[in-house]
Formats: sequence, structure tokens, C-alpha cells
Amino acid sequence: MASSSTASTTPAAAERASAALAASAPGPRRRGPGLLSHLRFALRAAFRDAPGPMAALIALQIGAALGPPASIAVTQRLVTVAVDTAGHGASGFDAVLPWLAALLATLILSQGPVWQFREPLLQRLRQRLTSDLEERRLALAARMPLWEIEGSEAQDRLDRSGDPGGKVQRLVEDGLLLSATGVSALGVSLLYRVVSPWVVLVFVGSFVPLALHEAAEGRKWDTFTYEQTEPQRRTAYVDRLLTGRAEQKELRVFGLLGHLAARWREGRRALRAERRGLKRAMIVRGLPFAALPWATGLAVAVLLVYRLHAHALGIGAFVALFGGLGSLSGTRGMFGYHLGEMSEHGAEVAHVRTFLEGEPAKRPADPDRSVAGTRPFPRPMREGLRCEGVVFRYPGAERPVLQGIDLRLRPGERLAVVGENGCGKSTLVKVLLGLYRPDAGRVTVDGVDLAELAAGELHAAVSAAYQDYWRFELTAGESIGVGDTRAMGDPDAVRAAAAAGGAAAFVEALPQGFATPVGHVLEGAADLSGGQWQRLALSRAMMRDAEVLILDEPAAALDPKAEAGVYAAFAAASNGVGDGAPERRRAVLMISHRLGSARMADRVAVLRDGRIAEEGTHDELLAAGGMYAGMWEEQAQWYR
Amino acid sequence: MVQVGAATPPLRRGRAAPSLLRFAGWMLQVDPARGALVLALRIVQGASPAATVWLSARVFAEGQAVWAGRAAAAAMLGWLGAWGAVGLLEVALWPLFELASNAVIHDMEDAATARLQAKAGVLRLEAYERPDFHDILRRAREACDPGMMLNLVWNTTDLPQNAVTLLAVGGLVGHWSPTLLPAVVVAALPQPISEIVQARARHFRGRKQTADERLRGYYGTLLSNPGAAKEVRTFDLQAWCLARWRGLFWKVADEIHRQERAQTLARAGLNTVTLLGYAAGLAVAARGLAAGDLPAARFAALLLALRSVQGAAEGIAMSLLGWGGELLLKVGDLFAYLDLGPEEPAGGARPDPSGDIVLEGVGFTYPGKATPALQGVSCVLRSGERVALVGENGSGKTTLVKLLCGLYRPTEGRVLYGGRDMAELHPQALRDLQAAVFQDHVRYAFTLGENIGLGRAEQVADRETVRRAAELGGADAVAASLPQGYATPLTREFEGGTDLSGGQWQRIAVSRGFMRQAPLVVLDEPTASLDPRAEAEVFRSFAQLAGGGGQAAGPNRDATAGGDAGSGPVTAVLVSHRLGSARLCDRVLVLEGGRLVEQGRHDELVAAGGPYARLWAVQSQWYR
Ligand SMILES: Nc1ncnc2c1ncn2[C@@H]1O[C@H](COP(=O)(O)OP(=O)(O)OP(=O)(O)O)[C@@H](O)[C@H]1O
Ligand SMILES: Nc1ncnc2c1ncn2[C@@H]1O[C@H](COP(=O)(O)OP(=O)(O)OP(=O)(O)O)[C@@H](O)[C@H]1O
Ligand SMILES: [Mg+2]
Ligand SMILES: [Mg+2]
Repeated sequence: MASSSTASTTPAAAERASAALAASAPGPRRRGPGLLSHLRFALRAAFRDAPGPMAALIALQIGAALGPPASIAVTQRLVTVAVDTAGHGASGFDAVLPWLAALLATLILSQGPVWQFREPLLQRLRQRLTSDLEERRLALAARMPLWEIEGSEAQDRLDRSGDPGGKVQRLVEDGLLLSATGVSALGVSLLYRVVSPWVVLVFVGSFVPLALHEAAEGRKWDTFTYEQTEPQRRTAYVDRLLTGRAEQKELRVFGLLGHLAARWREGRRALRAERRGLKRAMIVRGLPFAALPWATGLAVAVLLVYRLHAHALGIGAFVALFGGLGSLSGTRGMFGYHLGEMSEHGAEVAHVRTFLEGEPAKRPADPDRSVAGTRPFPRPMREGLRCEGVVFRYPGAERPVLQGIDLRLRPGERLAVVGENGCGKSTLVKVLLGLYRPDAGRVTVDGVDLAELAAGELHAAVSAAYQDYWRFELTAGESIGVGDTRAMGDPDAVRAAAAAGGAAAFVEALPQGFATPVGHVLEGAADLSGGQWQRLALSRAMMRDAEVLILDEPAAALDPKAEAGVYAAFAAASNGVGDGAPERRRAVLMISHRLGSARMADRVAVLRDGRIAEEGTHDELLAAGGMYAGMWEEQAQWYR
Repeated sequence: MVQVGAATPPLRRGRAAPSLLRFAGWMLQVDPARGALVLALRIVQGASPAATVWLSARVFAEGQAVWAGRAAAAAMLGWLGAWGAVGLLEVALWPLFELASNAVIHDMEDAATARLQAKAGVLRLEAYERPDFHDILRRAREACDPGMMLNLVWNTTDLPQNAVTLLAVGGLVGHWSPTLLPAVVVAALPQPISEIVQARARHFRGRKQTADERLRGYYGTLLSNPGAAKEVRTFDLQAWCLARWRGLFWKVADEIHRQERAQTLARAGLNTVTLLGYAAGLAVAARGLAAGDLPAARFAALLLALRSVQGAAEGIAMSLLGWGGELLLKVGDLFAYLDLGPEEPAGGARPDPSGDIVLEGVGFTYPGKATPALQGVSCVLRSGERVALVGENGSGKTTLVKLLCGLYRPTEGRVLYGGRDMAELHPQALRDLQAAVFQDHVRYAFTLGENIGLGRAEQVADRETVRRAAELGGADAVAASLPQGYATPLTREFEGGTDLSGGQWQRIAVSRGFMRQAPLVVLDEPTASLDPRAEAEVFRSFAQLAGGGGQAAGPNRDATAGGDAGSGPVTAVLVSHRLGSARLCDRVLVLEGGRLVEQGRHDELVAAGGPYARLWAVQSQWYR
């Protein structure tokens, strides 16, 4: 907070600030914590969110791990008995039966039926993790400062951390499977000690290079996918354009389908060529690691024959251990596979962690976000909102848009802000509403810096209809009601807001009135006309009993009558705030290119080159013959 | 009210039942060489279990001999060598398979997506207004997902591999012990067969949940989409959105889980049957062994062989019925989408560029809506005429514009272009004669130059044309204000880009419309967000467009007009709530509640004192 209030308010200061930002721009990616750390994170989350399913999964996994060694051991007995009793008739059969039953039991416990229960358990685990982590992810996204969420970096990070529950679940699953495979490989290896202790050592030792190799490959793959996020998003964007509803009209009239489809193909080809090249290299590099188990298997098979010959092995053991070679090489294959999956999924979890635990991005002008403000919003507001030398520059832009704005909005005052396209009016609105923090200068309400207000205080006291308002595709009533979620359940409040925003008439004419779904999200929803959407946005702004109301181009899409309605509301809006306290008067700021509206204002401010260039009443400004007078003349001629 | 359904073009559903064969055929068509390679590799892989089983039996038999001292250890090495060779083949073929199948999968993903895009571009636009269309589209998209393609390719190629295994190993087992085989195979079937029932249940449960899932996704979008970020913050919607998100999440998740649990019980039960079959098979073999009919080595080999046979039988049933069925239900969604109709005609008559546009009793009702947006609109737009379209919000102006562009077909009456029904004209040829600026114009996340140039894609790189269009629409000032000018990427969602103000975007959209010099120009609210000067400029550009000549290019001054529009007359339609612009037009059409209630020159209508005069009075009062 101190930094923003003491900073100099000159554009030069803003330039310095921008240089500092450029210096702190994200460099090449730093390597974060390793796979084990991610695994720990995943396991901790899993045990926290789903202890029951986790315990059951571990039990299943132990059964599965013991399966292969157990079945080899049983096979050994079974074959020994079978060979011994071959041709002994019924008594031989009776001797074999118990071992058959034992084999069946190991199969039931280690794969097949019991194994089936893994799926619902994993599913529950994934659901609980999703519910927890996705909710945290969304909440974090919703708390990001506006400048940040508008930027490509945040979009990339959001993209990479998508489906966090699935990502963490997959890593946990890899961990479980990997340890089970490890245990079962160890168990099977140990059975070979009767051949030679060295065999055990060779088997176990051959896992080490495999593990190192897979880990290294995983890192390469991770770097690759990380770098592909942005190009991937670009092609995905073109793909979405091609099937987008809102885009179809233009795409067809301008005949853009072929052009964009070619662009998409080009992007895909580039992405794919890279991906395919890397995959091929990985497979080639993996060849020795696939051949190694095969070679050791063959060597041990030869050894088995000689041990059999030397009667160091029984025939049962020979058959079981020979058969076990297949299972062992399978196990080793699975081990490598799970390891590869694990490092891939570990990298995915890394993205989730960076998003959930990472340092929030910083702008030099940002106050320390960990120190929350504590002051309440002064109600009633006495002196009003005030900009003092406000400078604001969009991240990455060369020049600040606002270069030292001094402006005052008093309670009960109606202020019109006008200016050319792109002069910074909407930006000013976002700064006034605390969505952007000024790079220099400050915005205060009754002398209190907005940054010092407690969380939620500011937003509870202001309301706005933005120029590029969002279309809430819910029911018409909800689309208005979200302006104040506490009151949205009250039909009268919604109806009153709709009346104030000019939406009541058309909404009531909809088939189900305020319960009619609008847009395309809800079942049975239908679209509205441009002006109807704007009326909903205006009504939304009217939901709140706000001290400050800001309307940014509220009449852009409105017909003349609705436009007149908005101006009338503007004229009347500052007269009182609903709760009966007579001294409370609302401050209203309206931005409009329809200068007729400025006549209704107590004061008009003209924005130009990042500063307030002219200020006064409509008549004063006309008399002054400056920029405002020129704009007025330009527009008024159409109506004389 | 009910005949609406009949009036709007029905969404024709696909009929062709998808099948493994259709899919396999498609795979071979998309990527013939690699597709065939993948199939061949899997067939070879299918033979290897039989070889392994047979060789194992030999090794066991020889092993018995060695143990009994009847043979030397070296005698077995040949068999071991063969056994090792089979293993080596598997090791060597696998990477080849992985490479080929990877490529096939991505090729198929791209081919499917390209077809999906192409379809999206030829479907009649009304389909997009249908509530169910977007679900069909979304499901079709899911079917193009690489994971889906992977499953499909595997599943399809599983079939021949398992068939080979079943035949080869089954043949071996049948040869050793003929009575065993059928029982063992039959025991393996109930589970995969029951899977199809379960899969269908899952699939249709998923469909039922579409609406909830869509809405949950939407709440997620609200929280993370930059477009909604301002409102979400100002109105403190975080907690509210999250609560709704959570409610929907658990509603769906619990339903899924309940179903999964029930299905798991069934699956586990049937799986036990399979294993019992295996054990019973072994018991029969053990009896043979005890009776001396079956050598011990073969008995040992049967331990492997029976599982392998069961696995293959199970796999085949799974491919055909179980997961395969489920996957096919999903590809079916893609094929159903690709079979959707109606499409725009692929051909048709060439329109006459200088023809009049005649509306005869035109009405339009949006799909699924009870009340028409337009009703009984009849009028003539003469070639070279400038026409203003005015009316209250929701009176049907934009809808009429879409009809004039041939994007929608009237659900009543017809639109004639140069004497021919628009529906009979070649859509592409028709579009070459049009330029349009839509009210909800698109903000392309491309560069500024491209955003304008896309108005005529062939000239997107032609700087001179782009610059001229920018001047007409007022985007030249925007370019001048940006350090990289026309090369500035216009989005902050991708690296290195910047965003613009609402008015700047609109200037770009208008400039895009001016990229074309077409005989029909339609501007729908082109100045809603423009500042007064830019607005006046656009109105003047508009006035200059129509070749009528002699008309005022400003409300009160005589200025040059016409001439700039290349050859031939230009019919220009302007939709605007800024009624001053109507004075520039030869005729004003006034819509009210979807009906054409008034038409005439501005002065005439003002004098007539009707609806237009009232609108005019309301707006002009601010400027007196
Ligand atoms: N895509 C759609 N699906 C269903 N109904 C629609 C759709 N678009 C518009 N409507 C409805 O059709 C009617 C006419 O809409 P249209 O967009 O043509 O109005 P408009 O005259 O252009 O209004 P505005 O001045 O607000 O732009 C309105 O009642 C609107 O709610
Ligand atoms: N999100 C953004 N990121 C980067 N630059 C932006 C962003 N939004 C606007 N700008 C730039 O900041 C400048 C001011 O934009 P702003 O939206 O405040 O203008 P405005 O005065 O509201 O214009 P209009 O009358 O067109 O609405 C413009 O030059 C624009 O290019
Ligand atoms: Mg603005
Ligand atoms: Mg419209």
C-alpha cells in the first residue's frame, strides 16, 4: 500500500515501473521440485480427500502384488504333484485338486474378480480429488487480479492445470501400480534364488537403468509439452472458430472456412511433426531397455536347463520358473511403463501445484497481497471517489493509457465522461472499481485508498454495467439477479431491477417470464437480440443498492426509447438510495458517445491523451468551444 | 404454435449404424499404409502366444527327459533358441507398432476433426440455433479426442489379433484335449457380453447428464474466463458460482458412482465364472493326466494355454460387444453428427449482381420458439438503393439481415434475388456479392491486419487493400496508435498481443466489412460503440457506397457521393438506432414486433407522425 501512495505520479514514474515489469517478465522456466515431491503431494491429497478408497485400493494392490509370486509357487507344487502322480488314476487326481483350488484362489485374489473393485474406488478417489482441487483451482482463478487473468500467462497456467483431480488421481494410481509391480517383481525374483543368488541380483539390478532412463525421458517429454502449450492453444482456437456458433455468420459471408481450415491444418502439421519426431526418438532410445529383459530372460532360461540337468531343480520348479520368466519380463515391462507414465503424470501434477501453490504473479505497483486491507467502505459516502494522479499502463503496452488522472465523483453527483474511442474511459472505470490498481497515484473513497478496504467491502458498495458486459446464459431472472446474489431469490427485487434497466417488458413477454432460460447453456434456452442482452446487463447493475454506480456505454445497442429510459434513470439515479436514509445519495458515472446524455450530467469530463482535458457542465464546455464542442457539433447535426 | 416444428428445417438425424467395419474402413482410408501395417503387426502378434505355448510344451517335455537323464542339457538349447526368437520378435515388433499406431491415431484425430469442421461449415445455419445441436456437436468432438481414437484403433485391431490367438492356441488345446476347449471358452463369454448392457446403461446415463454437465462447465467458465472476470469480481460471484458448481458436480458424480458400484458387482461375479471355467478346464486336464491320457508337459503348458484362450475369447467378445460396443456408441455420435442435415446446397444458379431483392410475405421463427421473430414482411430493395432498417430492440432487424444474406431461409414466404428464389442460388456465388458487418461481430485473436483482411481472405496479405478498408471503417487510427501497427496481435490470450477498446474493435469490424466491394452491403449497428467523429465517418462511407449519386453525404451538406464502389450499383442496408443516419437513406423501413409497419423517406415518415416519427422525436430531443 505504501508503495502505491508514495510513488510519484508522473508518467516518468510509470515508465520506470514498466521497465521494472519488463525486467521481471517470466524468463525461461525454472525446474521445480522433483517427481518424488509431486508424488508426496498427490498421496497427501488423496489420503486427505479420500482416506477410505485409498485404504481399500492399497489392500487390493497388496493382493495384486502377491499374486504373481504366489501363483508361481503354487504352479511349482501343482506341476510337481502332477508329474509325480501322472497315470496314478483317481488317487493322483485327488492329489492335484487342492493345488488347483489354491491356484484358483490366487487368481481370484490377485486379478479378476477382486481387481474389478479397483475401478469404482479409483473413480471415487478421482471425484473427491476433483471436487477439492478443481474447486480450489477455480477459486484461485476467480481471485486473480483482472490484469493477470486477462493475460496469456494466466491462460496458459489455467490450461495446464485443468482437470487437477484427474491428474492427481493418475499419479496416485501410477504410484500404487508401480509399487505393486515392484513388490511382485521382487517376490518373483526371490523365487529364483534356488537357481542362483546372482540371478536375483541381476533381475533386481536390471530395474535401475530402466528407472533412470524412464525418468530422463519423462523430463524431456515434460519440457516439450510445456513449450507446446501456447501453439497448441492457438490451433485449438482456430478449431473452435470453425465450429463456433457466434462466428458462423461471418465465416460464411466472408467465405473464411477454407482459409481458416488451412490455417488449422498448418498449425496441426507443425505441432504433429515435432511431436512425432520426439516420440520416434524416444522409442528408438528405449530399444535397448526393452531388449535387456529379453536377454537376461534367455540367459536365465539356459541356466535353468543346466540346473535341471544337475538335479539342482525339480521338474515342478523348472516349469514354474521357466513360465515365471514370461511373467517377470511382463512385470518389468509394466514397471517401465508405469514409471514412464508416472514421470509424465508427475509433470502434469507439477502444473497443478504451480497453479495451486505457486507465487501469485506480481506487478511492481501491486501492494503486498498477503496484507489484506481492513477498512470498511464508508457508508454513507461523504466526499466520494477521487482519483489522484492516477497512472495506468496495461502489461506489455509501451505507453500508459492513463497518464495522471485527477477526478472527483461526489455523492449525489452525475458525472459524464466522454472521449474518443480508445482514449481510456473503460480503463478508468476498471481502475475506479478497483479491478486494476493504478501504477502510480491512487483512488480513494472518503480519503481511504481503495487498497486499504477490507476484502469485499468495495464490491458490496459499487455496481456497474460494463461496455463489454458478459452474457449470463442462465434464466432471464438469474441473469439479472447475479447483480446481487443475496437478493436474487427475491422476485420483487429482480423485477424492480429489470424495470429500472428496461428489461421488464421484454422479459415478461418471454414464454416463462423471468424463468425463461436465455442463451444456449440451459435446456430449452433461446438467444436474445443484442439490445435485449444489453438491457439485461443494465438491469443487473441495478440489482445493488450501490453508493457508486458506473454505466459504461449503457445505450450502445439500445433503441431510442430505451436509450431515453436510461438517460432518465441516469438523471434520477442519484436522487436516493433505496434504504430510506435521505442523506445517502448515489454517485453515478456514465460514459457515452451519445452526447445528448451529457446534458443531463452535473459535470462532463473529457478524456484525452490519458488526462482530463476539459471539465465543466455541458453548456460551459459548449461555450468553451474545445474538443467537446466539436464532438457535439459533429453529432448534433444529424438531428437538426 | 405447434406447426413451428414443421416450419423450421428439421435436424435430420443420422441413420447409418456405425460398425467396426465402417471404422476399420475409415482407418484404412485415412492412412492406408500405416493402417494396414498396424493391422498386419497385430495379426503377427496374435500368433505369438500359440508359438510360445507350443514351444513351452516342448521345453517342458524335453526338460522332463533331461531331468530323468534321458537327454543332454545341450539338446534343449535349440528349443530355447526358438523360444527366445519368438520373444525377440515381440520385443522388436512392439516399437514398430507403437510408432505406426501413434501416427495413425493422430492422423485419424485430424481427419475426424477436419471432417467435423467441414460439416460445421456446410450445415444450414438454423441448426446452430437448435438447442440439441450443440450437444450433438460436443459429443462428436469427444469422439475426435486422441484418447478415443487410441481406444478405437486398439479395439479394432484387437479383433484380428485375438482371432488369430484363439484359432492358434485353441487349435493346439483342441488337439491335446478336445473336450476341454468349448467349456473354457464359453465360461469366458458372459462377462464381456454383459458389458454391452452395462456400456449402454453408462452411455445413456451420460446423455441424461449432459445438461447438468454443460451447466457445471459454464459455472467453471464464469470463474476462469477473462470475459466474465469483471462481473464476477464486481458482483462477488465467486462463492455463488462455486456453490452451484459443487452442487452439480456431486449430483452427477454420485449418480455415476452408484451405477459404477452396481456394475462392478455384476462384473466381479461374472469374472469369477470365467476363472471357475479355467479351473474346471484344468481339473478335466488333471483327470486326463491322472488317467495317463495327457503327458505332464502338456498339462503344464495348458496352464498357460487355457488362460490365453480365455483371454482371446474374452477380447473378441469385448471388441464386438463390450467396450467395443461402447466405443462404437461414441463414434456413432460422430457419424450421427456427420450425417446431420439439412446442408446448404452445393450448387445452384448464379445470381444476377444487379438484381432487386424482393421479400414476399417473409416470416421467420427461430427453431424451438413459439412466436415468430418476423412475420409477413413484403418489400422491394431496389438495386443501388440505400435502405435504413429501424425499430425497437427485438423487433427483428438482425433476423431480417440474416435472411437478406441468405444465412437463414424464411420459414414463410420467400426472398428473391434478381427474380430468383435465394434458396435456389449457389451459396458461394451469392456470398461473393455480399459484404456485411454484423451486430455481434467476431473479435479474431489474430493480428490487426488479419482482422480486417479476413473480410476478403484472398487479400488478407494485400496491405494496400487492407489499409484502404481500414480508412473507410476508421481502423487506420487504431493501427496508428499501436507500435506494431497492422502487425499487432489483437488478444492478450496469446503471447505478445494487446487488447483494444470496444469502439476500436467495432472500427475493425466495420473495416472488415469494407474489404469487399460487393453489390449488397449490409451494416447491422455498425456505430453502436463509435465516438461521434468515427460514427459520422462511417455514415459518410456508407453514403458513398451506394452508387445512387447526388445524395447528401452528410445530413445537411451536399457532398460527393457514389463512384467509389467499383462497377455497378450497390444496394446498401443500414441497421441503426442512431436515427440521424436514416436521413442518408433513400428509404426507411420500420419494424415493429417482427412486422414491417412503415416505410418511406425520413422526411415523409417524420411528417406522417407514425412510429418512426415517435422514435425520431425521442432521440432528436437530446440534440435540440
Ligand atoms: N438466435 C436466436 N434464437 C431465438 N430467438 C432469437 C434469436 N435471436 C433473436 N431472437 C429473438 O428474435 C427476436 C428478434 O431479434 P433480432 O435480433 O432480430 O432483433 P433486433 O431488431 O436486431 O434487435 P436489437 O435492436 O436489439 O439488435 C427477439 O425477440 C429475440 O429475442
Ligand atoms: N485489456 C487490455 N489490454 C491491453 N490494452 C488494452 C486493454 N483494453 C484496452 N486497451 C487499450 O487501452 C486503450 C484504452 O482502452 P479503453 O477501453 O479504456 O478505451 P475507451 O475510452 O473505453 O474506448 P471506447 O470508446 O472505444 O470504449 C486503448 O488504446 C486500448 O487499445
Ligand atoms: Mg470503452
Ligand atoms: Mg439486432
